[in-house]
Amino acid sequence: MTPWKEHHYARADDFVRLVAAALARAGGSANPFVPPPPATVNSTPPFAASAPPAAPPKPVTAAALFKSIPWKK
Amino acid sequence: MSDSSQTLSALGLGHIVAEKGFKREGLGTFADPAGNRIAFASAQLLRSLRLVLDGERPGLWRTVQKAAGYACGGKIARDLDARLAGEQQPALAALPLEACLGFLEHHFSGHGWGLLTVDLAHAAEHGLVVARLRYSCFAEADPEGSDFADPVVAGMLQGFFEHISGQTLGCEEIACARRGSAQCEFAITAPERLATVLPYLGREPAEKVIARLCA
Repeated sequence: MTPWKEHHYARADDFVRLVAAALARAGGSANPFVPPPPATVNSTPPFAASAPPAAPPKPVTAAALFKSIPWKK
Repeated sequence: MSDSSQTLSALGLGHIVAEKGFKREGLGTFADPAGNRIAFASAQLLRSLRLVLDGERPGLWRTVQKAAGYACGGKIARDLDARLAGEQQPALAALPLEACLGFLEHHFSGHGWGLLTVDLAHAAEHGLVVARLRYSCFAEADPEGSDFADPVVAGMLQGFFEHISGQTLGCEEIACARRGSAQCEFAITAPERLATVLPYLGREPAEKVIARLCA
């Protein structure tokens, strides 16, 4: 019969291996036991998905432009 | 399709510049698509009028032409405003700049006056707009005079840009195909600034006059 301490160490050794494997699968996730979703072709990084698309520049009206010209300088 | 045509089409205004040609209104009278009466004048008639008016008083032809052009330029802008208002579109001055200038360029080419381009490179810093006209019909119709051939165009540009800007402006021709330039050029700015370069017009090339106005 395995002494309890020896048995304990064996289980602890298994635990360390299990954590290491989970960390490797998670790729650095905060929770090593929750692996990241599988990568897909359309997946985008979270920061890119949250960034709003740039609005197109508003065209300058003729009145606004000609009003801004320093005619008399 | 030109850039300005594409801009106007994108704004739903392409049909206005697509209207081309003059239509016969009655016996011997023609009108443009806006309904304005068109007068065709031969080169001989233009030359004769210049000789008669300048014979009466030197410089009178230029004065009359510029005043007529000024009235015409303002009317071009008002007619376009009325047309746009009739179609529940923004007024000329409220359109994007490219569309506003596109209307002017099309009006010039549609009437056979020449190919107009407007250069705003000196506008923001020096308060100067330069317009250039290639194939001026006025320079081609009357190539013999000693002075610049396009006072009517200078007046038109002055009237049009005054309407758009809401400012009192002046416009002077600073180079002319009649005097050997590749194209006719016009400077548009405040009248008092143009007055400072009047002594140099016809004596210095356009680049030098522009440099004086930008100094």
